[in-house]
Amino acid sequence: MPNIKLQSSDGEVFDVDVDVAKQSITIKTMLEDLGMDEDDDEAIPLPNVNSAILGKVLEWCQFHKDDPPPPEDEENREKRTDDLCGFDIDFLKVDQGTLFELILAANYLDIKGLLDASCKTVANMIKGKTPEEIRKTFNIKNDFTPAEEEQVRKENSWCEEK
Amino acid sequence: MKSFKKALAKKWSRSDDRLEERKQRLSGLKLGSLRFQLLCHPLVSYDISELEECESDSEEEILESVTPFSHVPTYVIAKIFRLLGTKELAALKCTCKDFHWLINQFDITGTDSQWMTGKEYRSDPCMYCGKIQDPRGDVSLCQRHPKAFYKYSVINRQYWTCCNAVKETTEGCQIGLHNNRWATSEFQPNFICKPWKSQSWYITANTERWCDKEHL
Repeated sequence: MPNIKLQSSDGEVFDVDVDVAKQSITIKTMLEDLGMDEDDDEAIPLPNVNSAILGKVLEWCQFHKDDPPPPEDEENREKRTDDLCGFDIDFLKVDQGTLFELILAANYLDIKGLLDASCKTVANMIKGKTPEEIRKTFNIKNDFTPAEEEQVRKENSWCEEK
Repeated sequence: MKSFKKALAKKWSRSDDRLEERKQRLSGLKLGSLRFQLLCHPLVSYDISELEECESDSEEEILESVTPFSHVPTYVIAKIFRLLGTKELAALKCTCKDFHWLINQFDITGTDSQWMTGKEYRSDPCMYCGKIQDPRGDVSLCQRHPKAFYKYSVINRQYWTCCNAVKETTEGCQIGLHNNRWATSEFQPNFICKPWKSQSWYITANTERWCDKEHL
């Protein structure tokens, strides 16, 4: 099977199957536009992804390499967050920093499936929480003045109720 | 004009010569000591500890304001928010200014929202509480009374039949979603029925229609 080399921001080179790497639209476009040969020894630099995250992203791509392409009409699709497969649930059981780095990597590499799965995981983390609990979970500072907060609470009734 | 140009050229050539001379005269060591003297000058020097304190304060502030969402592009955050229901979005709006702005700016509505957004529905109020949808990012929840307000002016008796609250203006006792789609079987004119004359009721939000329910 033809392989290509991917270089992370910290210089580590990953030897990856082309089909696995091509799940990333960014890499796929790079290969097509730059006319890079699959047998080329030159590694594709990915300056926005470090080796730890790139390793995880490639692990996800490896598992999902035989998945059908995602449907185009996203708007019409039912927006569910409880339809993650078992592998994705276990794969995304990581600390918050890693989860958000995976989101950034998936966004940069344009891997729709991984971006969807990681976004759904974050959405599940928000669900059922009060504003204070959300602040605590994501280390968010309350920057409303007391008057503003009162107004916003009034506008969005029952913010505090579960 | 020509003479002026010549004079200027002469002046530049002289200043270049002087600079060369100065460079030759000053060795590297001398330049170093000059630099040191300049830095020690009261106008230039500063208290490093003060600056460090200042920097540490600002660093702390920056660290405090950094959240996992800080580096994520807004459209990705909007993508996450679009997966949430109205209640969660309402909570997010109360969390911080950034989220409040983002929900309004991207006009995010909950996955369970029942607001009809078509032009023909835009000015229609919620059929439970009478609220008209905000122009952008309306994720407010509907406060309503599920049952009618009983009012009999002859004996001056009035109360909400659901929660027994005496005042008509009491906030709704049930949380729900706004719905401005009047032409459905879900139509419940409880909140708008008011006594009119004796034994007769009418719907205030739609004065053309008569309520055929037996309220008394």
